[in-house]
Amino acid sequence: MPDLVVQGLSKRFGEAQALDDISFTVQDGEFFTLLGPSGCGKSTTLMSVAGLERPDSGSIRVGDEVFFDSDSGRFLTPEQRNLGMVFQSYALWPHMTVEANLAMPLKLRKVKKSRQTSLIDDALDQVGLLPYKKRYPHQLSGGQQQRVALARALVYSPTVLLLDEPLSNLDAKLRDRARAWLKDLQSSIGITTVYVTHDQLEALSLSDRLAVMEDGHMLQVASPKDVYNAPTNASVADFIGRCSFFEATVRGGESDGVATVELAGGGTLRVTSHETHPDGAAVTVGIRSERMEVVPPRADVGAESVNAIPAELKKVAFVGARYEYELVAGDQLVFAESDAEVTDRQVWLIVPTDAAYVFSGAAAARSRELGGVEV
Amino acid sequence: MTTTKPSPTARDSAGSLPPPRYRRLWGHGKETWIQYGVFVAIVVLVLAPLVPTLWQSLIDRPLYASGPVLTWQNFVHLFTQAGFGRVVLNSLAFAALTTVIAVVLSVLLAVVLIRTRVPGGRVMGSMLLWPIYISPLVLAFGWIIVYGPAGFISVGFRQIFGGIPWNLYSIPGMALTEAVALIPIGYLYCSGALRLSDPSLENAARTCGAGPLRILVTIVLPMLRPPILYSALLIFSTSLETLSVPLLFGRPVGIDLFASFIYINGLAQSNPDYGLVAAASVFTLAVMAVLVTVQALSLRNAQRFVAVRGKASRPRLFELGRLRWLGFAFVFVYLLLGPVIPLLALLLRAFTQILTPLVNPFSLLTLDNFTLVFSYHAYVQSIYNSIIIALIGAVATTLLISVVVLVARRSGFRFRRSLEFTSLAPQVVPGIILGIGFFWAFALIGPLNWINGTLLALIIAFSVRSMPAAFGAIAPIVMQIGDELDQAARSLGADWWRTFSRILFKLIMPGMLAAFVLLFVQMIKEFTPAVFLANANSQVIGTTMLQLWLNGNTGAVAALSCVQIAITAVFVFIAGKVLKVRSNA
Repeated sequence: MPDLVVQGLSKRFGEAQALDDISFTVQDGEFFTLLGPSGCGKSTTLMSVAGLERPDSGSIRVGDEVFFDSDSGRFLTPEQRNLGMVFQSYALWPHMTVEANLAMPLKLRKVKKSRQTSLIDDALDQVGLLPYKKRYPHQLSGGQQQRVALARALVYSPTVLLLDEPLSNLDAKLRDRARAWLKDLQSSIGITTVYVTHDQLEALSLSDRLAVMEDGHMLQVASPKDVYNAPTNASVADFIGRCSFFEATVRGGESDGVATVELAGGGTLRVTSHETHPDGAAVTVGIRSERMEVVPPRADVGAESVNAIPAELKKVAFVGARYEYELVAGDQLVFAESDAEVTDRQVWLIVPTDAAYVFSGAAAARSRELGGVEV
Repeated sequence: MTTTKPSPTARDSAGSLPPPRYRRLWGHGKETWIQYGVFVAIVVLVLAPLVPTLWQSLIDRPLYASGPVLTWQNFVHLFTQAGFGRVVLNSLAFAALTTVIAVVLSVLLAVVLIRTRVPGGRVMGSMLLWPIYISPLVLAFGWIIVYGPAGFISVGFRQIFGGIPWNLYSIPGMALTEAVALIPIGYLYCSGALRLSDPSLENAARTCGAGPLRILVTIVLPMLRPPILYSALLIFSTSLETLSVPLLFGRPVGIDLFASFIYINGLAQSNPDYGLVAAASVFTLAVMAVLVTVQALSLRNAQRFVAVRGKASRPRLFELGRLRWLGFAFVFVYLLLGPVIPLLALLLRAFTQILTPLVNPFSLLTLDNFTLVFSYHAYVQSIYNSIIIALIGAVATTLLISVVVLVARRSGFRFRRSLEFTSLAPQVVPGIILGIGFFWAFALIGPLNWINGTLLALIIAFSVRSMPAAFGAIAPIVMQIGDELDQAARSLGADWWRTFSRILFKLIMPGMLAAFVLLFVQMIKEFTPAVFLANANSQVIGTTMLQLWLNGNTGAVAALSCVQIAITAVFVFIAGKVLKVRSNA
C-alpha cells in the first residue's frame, strides 16, 4: 500500500492560523498519531487529508495520486479519495441496520449483491459483530457502535484509515480494551492509519510514530519512546508525561552527551543533552516527575552530592499506587512522584542523569496545580 | 464487549475496491449543476414579480405599451391626487393597533394557560390555535355576520339597549378582528418560551420569599420580552399586508389600507392606472422590507438573551386559588367572542336562509346555500382548483425548498447565503403585489403569455409566497442532523447528491411531510395572489367567496367557508394519522 505524503499544509480560519506549514509522511502500513490539546490543528489536519476541509496551501498525496495541490489547484472531493474514516460520534446512520450501514459504501461502488454479503460478513466477523447484523445502531452499546463504524470504514478496503478520536466516547475500562483490540486489528490488516487523539496514553501505546502538535505546528515527529525519552522541546516534554522546569546555566563542557548545569535556585545537575550548549548559556532544564526520587535528610546526601537538590515539601497527595509531592526548590515549584512516603519538611530530590532534559533558552516555567494536603 | 481475534485473511479475500466514479457534465460534477440550477431557479422566481413592478412604477405608460419614458410622476401622483398619504397613515394605525391588541391578549392567554392551573386549559389552548387553519377572509365574514352593523349580536343588542356602542367598520373594529386572526402567532411564541423557561429562576425567587403573583410580574413577564418583541414585529408586518379585513370592513366606509388601495386601483376600476398601482406596490414593499430587516436584526439579538435550556424540566404551575376562575373566565370569554361565536354563526348562516335574532334560526333551516354553490360549475371548479393548487404547490415547494435548505446549510456552494436570503425574500411581498407582479411578468415575456390566467400561474405564485414558511419548517430538521453523518457518507464514497438521496433524505422526511401539511393548509386558504392572476376558469375558493360577498350572496359565502374549513379539517386529520403512524414505525 502507498505512503501518505503531506507537504507544507497551511489553513487559516479568519484570524486564527489553524495549520502552519505542516509536513509529514506516513509509511505503508504505519500507525501514525496526531497528538495535541484541543485547538492544536490535529483535527484540521485529518479533515484536510479526508477532503472534508480544504487547506489554503500545500499538497497531500497517497502514492501517485494527488489529493490536493494548491499550486495546480487540484482538489479531490472526499468520495474520490477512497479513504476509510471513523468519526468521534461514530456517525452511524440511525435509520439503517448495521448491515445496511456497511452495504452503503459497497452499493455506491456497484459491488454485486452476493459479493456485498460476503464482504459485509467478513468485515463484521473481523470486529466480532456478525450476530448483530440486523440490529439498528441504537440497539448497540457504545463499544459495539464504535466497532461497527470501524467495520463500515474497512469493508471496501480503503487505502488509508483515518480515525478521529474514536475511543473518546467510551468509558475508561472499555477504552483500555478497545485500544488493545484496535492495535491488533490494525497490525493484522496492515492498513496505513492516521489517528487523532488528545490522550497521550492512547498515542504512546498505539502508534508506530506520533506527531505532537501545538498551535498549528508539529513540535516533534518520532516514535513513542523517542518522544518520551528525548523530547526536542519543553512543550513536548510537558505534554508527554509530567515535567518540572528549572532555569539554569551551562557550567563546564559536555562529555559523552552529558552536560553540567547550575540551577538558578541552587544545586548542580549532570544531565543528558542531545544538543551542544556553549559554556555559560542560559537553558531550561526539564525533570521527569515520575523519575525523581524524594529522600529524607540522610548522612550520605549533602550539598556537594551530584544531582541532589535541596527542597522543601509543601503538599502530599496519596493517589493509590504512589505519592504525589509538591515541593519548592529554590523559588521553583516542583512536582515529584514516588512510591515511598516522606514526611520531613526538608528533603533532597535525587535526579537520575537520564531523567532530565536540557532545552536552549529560558522557557517560561510551566506548572500545574496539585491537589493534596499541606505538610 | 468481547475481544475478537481479527482474521488475517479477511483483507486478501476482499481485495481493494476502487472509489466510485461519478459522471461529469462539461467538466463539472452533478452537485455543481444542481446547486447552480436551484440558485438560478430561486432567483428567477423571486425577481420575476419584482422587476416588472419596479419598472412599471418608473415609466409613464403601461409596461406593454411601446416607447416608455422614465419618470417620477407615478410617485408624485400617488401622494397628491391619489391621497396615498392617508392610506399610509391608516395602514400604520391599523397595524399598530392590531399589534397592541394581539400581543397583550396573547401574553395574557399564554401565561394563564401555560403557567396556571385552569379548568379545561388543554382544550382551550388548542382551540386558541384554530384561526391558524382558517382563512382570515372566513373569520372576517364571521365577524361581520355577528358584530357588523346588521350582525346577529348587533341587532340583538340594539333591540334591548336601543343602540350599539361599537362600530366594526372602523380602524379599531378592523384591528380587533385582525388581532383574533393573528393571536395564534403571539400565543405560539409566548407559550413556547414559557414552557421552556428555566424553573430554577423562579424557584430562586420563591426561596427569597416572593409569592406567585410577584414572581409572575417580576420574573416571568420580563423573561417573555424576546418572544413578545419578535411576535409583535411578525404581527405588525402581517397585518400591514393583509387584504381581507381592509377590503370587507374598510371599503364600505372608505378606509383604505395598502392592500385594499392596490386592489381598488388595480382591479375594481375599468381603466386602471398601472403606474399608480406599481408605485403604491413599490412603496409598500419598501416599508415591508424595512420591517423584516428590523425583525431579523431583533431576532439575532433576542437569541442572545433567551434563557432556554435544552433539557426542559416541567415548569411549576402557579396555584392561584380562587383567582384561577378569573383566568378561566378570561380565556373562555375570549374564545367565545373571538373565534367561536363568529364561526358558529357562519356555520348556522350556511344552513339558514337568513340569520337574525328576530326569528328563530332553526325554523329557517335549509340546504339552499350548498345547493347554490354546488349547482354552479364555476363555484365547484374553484373548489377543485384550490385543492389542485394546494396539492401540487405544496409538493413542489416542499421538494424545491428541501434542496434549497440542503444547498444553503449543507454544502460548500459559493452563493449559499444569497440563496437562503433570496428564498426568504418573499416574506416582504404582500400576496396581492406578488399576483400583479407575476401577471406583468407573464404579460411582458412573449413566450410566457399563455401562462397568465392558468392554474400554473397560480401554482407558481402560491408556491413563491409560501417559500419562506417552507424554509422555516425544513431548515431546523436539517440542522438537527449532525454533519458527521454527511461527512461519513462523503468519506465512504457518496458524492454530495447521493449523500442526500441515499442517506439524508429518509432522515429529513418527517420534516418534509410536516412542511407539506403546513403548506397545503396555507395554500387552501390563500387567495390574494389569485385576485389578479386568475381568470374565469382558474378562480380559487377565496376569490369566489369574495365575488359572492360583493354580490351580497352571504349564504353562499358561508357555505363555501364551511367547505374550505371542512377540506382543511379532513386533510389535517388524515395527515395527523399518517404522520403518527410513520413516527411510530
